[in-house]
Amino acid sequence: MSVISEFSKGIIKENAVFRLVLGLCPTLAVTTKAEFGLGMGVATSAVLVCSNLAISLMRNFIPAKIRIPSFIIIIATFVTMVDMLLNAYMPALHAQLGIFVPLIVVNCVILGRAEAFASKSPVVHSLADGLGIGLGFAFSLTLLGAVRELLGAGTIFNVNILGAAYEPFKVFGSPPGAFLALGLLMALVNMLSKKYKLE
Amino acid sequence: MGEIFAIVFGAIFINNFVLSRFLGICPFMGVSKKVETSLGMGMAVTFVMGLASFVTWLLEYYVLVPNQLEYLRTIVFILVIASLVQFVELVIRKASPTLYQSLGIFLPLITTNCAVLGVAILNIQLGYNLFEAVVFGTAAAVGFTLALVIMAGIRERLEFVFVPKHFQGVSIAMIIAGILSLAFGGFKGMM
Amino acid sequence: MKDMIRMGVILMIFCVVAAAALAYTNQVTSIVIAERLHQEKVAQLAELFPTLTNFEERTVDGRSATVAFDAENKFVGVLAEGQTEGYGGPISFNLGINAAGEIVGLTVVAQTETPGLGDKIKEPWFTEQFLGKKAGDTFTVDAISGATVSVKAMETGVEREYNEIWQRFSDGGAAGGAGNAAPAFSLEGVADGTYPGTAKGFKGDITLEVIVAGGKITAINVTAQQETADRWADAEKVIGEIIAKQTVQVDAVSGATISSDAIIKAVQNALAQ
Repeated sequence: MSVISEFSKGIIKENAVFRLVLGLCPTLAVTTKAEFGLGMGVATSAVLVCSNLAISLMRNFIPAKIRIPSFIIIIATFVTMVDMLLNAYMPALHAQLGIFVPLIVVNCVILGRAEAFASKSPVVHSLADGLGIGLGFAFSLTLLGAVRELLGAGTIFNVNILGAAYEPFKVFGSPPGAFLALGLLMALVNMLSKKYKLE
Repeated sequence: MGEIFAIVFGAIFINNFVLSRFLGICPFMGVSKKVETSLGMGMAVTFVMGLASFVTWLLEYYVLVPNQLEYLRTIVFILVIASLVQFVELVIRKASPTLYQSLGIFLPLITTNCAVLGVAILNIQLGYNLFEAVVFGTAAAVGFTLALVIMAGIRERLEFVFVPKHFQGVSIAMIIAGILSLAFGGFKGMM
Repeated sequence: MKDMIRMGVILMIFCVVAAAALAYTNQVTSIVIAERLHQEKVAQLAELFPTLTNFEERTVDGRSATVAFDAENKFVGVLAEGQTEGYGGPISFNLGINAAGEIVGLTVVAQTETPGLGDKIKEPWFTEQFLGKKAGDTFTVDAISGATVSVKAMETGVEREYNEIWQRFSDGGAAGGAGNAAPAFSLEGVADGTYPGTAKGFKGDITLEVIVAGGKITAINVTAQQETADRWADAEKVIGEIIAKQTVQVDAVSGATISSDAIIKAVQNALAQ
């Protein structure tokens, strides 16, 4: 596969949230607003790109038997760095994402890409794959965040869309709303992908 | 005693790990198709989470804090949890082959269950002492098991009903989880 | 066996590299984080207590608070954290009380109340209703429809925490920090000589000597410090300023506030002996 298709497949065809159904914990937990979804998506993508790059570079030195612990060390290092940098330079976002920043470590998307792709592919391909999957993940989180924010508060990225007369569905700002919104969005994505024959 | 009860009740019902804190969603969606397997998964998770709470608490307060290495918490905890899971798997395989047959297949999945690392970090953030940490870890896992078993019970019955085409699979499971989460929301305000 | 050793070595290398990378990142970011927290605290205190020039953390009977002093080292107010049990879980808030015992600030810092209903307790129009209340007042405020439990929790919680804090800190929390307060600064009556002083910096104690000759500070020699090298270079500028102006009423060096504040405090401590 070409580098470009490695990049583009992650955005829609192998979208982590909607098609592979991975990384659901942060997807549901932090998407009360579009900006938090975007922040989490970007943080996760940063870790994914860095870990894909590092693992691909070292793929010939890591013995197969200890690859999983090695991957975990590499991923955890990048996650901790992102955690510290967020805390230092974007404290408001860091406080909002809370425990889900260190939990990027156990996001199955990242370990999944390391095991299934980066450990077997050349550097450029791994980089493209990480960027694509990361972008797709960030896009999904932002989309879910935007939908929940719009229905739950009438705004998107804190910009009022639906006007003052709109009586918000408060439930979309709370945990049950996260499940409901994702469930409905998934059905919509299923419908659209059937219609446009993405299967 | 009241404090401990509050921790147990809070972790199981009010802030249920799956339905309110969003920890452990992957196994919740993946292993909740049959009641029997979800019970097995729940028991394995309960055991590991109680043990992980104990070990990580000791590490935090006897190794990381005295050496001012709190910034290594994430990496140390995840490595310890991964080794712990391997160790538990080895012990169960040697000690009880029957137990291994029912729990064994779930153990490797637990490493990337964010509920385990989540409970370890929450124990520290909430400032629990060792006993409270173990109680919280175990209770949170019981809450996880409860949500898993309820979900499996519903999904078993879902097999026999009509689900609109595009909602089949994860989509309908999400909506059911949303309704369950609403129901658990009723426990709020009981404390 | 050889394989085992090889794998062990590789894993070991990973761990060492990871730990080194994290230690470096931590060194860089922890300064920024501490600096930010410090600035936030200063800004927050300055807003509550306009006459504040100095503050200190004190603990009385197991409760800690930040106690603020003015230029004459008089107690001007106290800022402490309080907690109450709301509808959806614990609510924690910061409570500022001035020297007259009136509430001058209330901000909700963490809460898990129902979005759109109970979480209104964190909005300024709600918290402002508590401002000006003091011992003996009734702590009742306007109800929010659909959020009776959250409002009640705030009423009882703020009243209880107010009483607990005020009981301990109405005298400035003297019991928790007697002698620790930076004493008033005056060069009058200071005999010529060398005065040692210490204060807590960012990474540990900063120890210095203040040399007074002819009623003037002529030199400040730092004898021990463990601050971060590049920050320290900035922080040291404050020494020249103290000597030039013959006062400790100088501004901290921005970007190195914690270290430079510590130098100022150490000089104060030295001359107060």
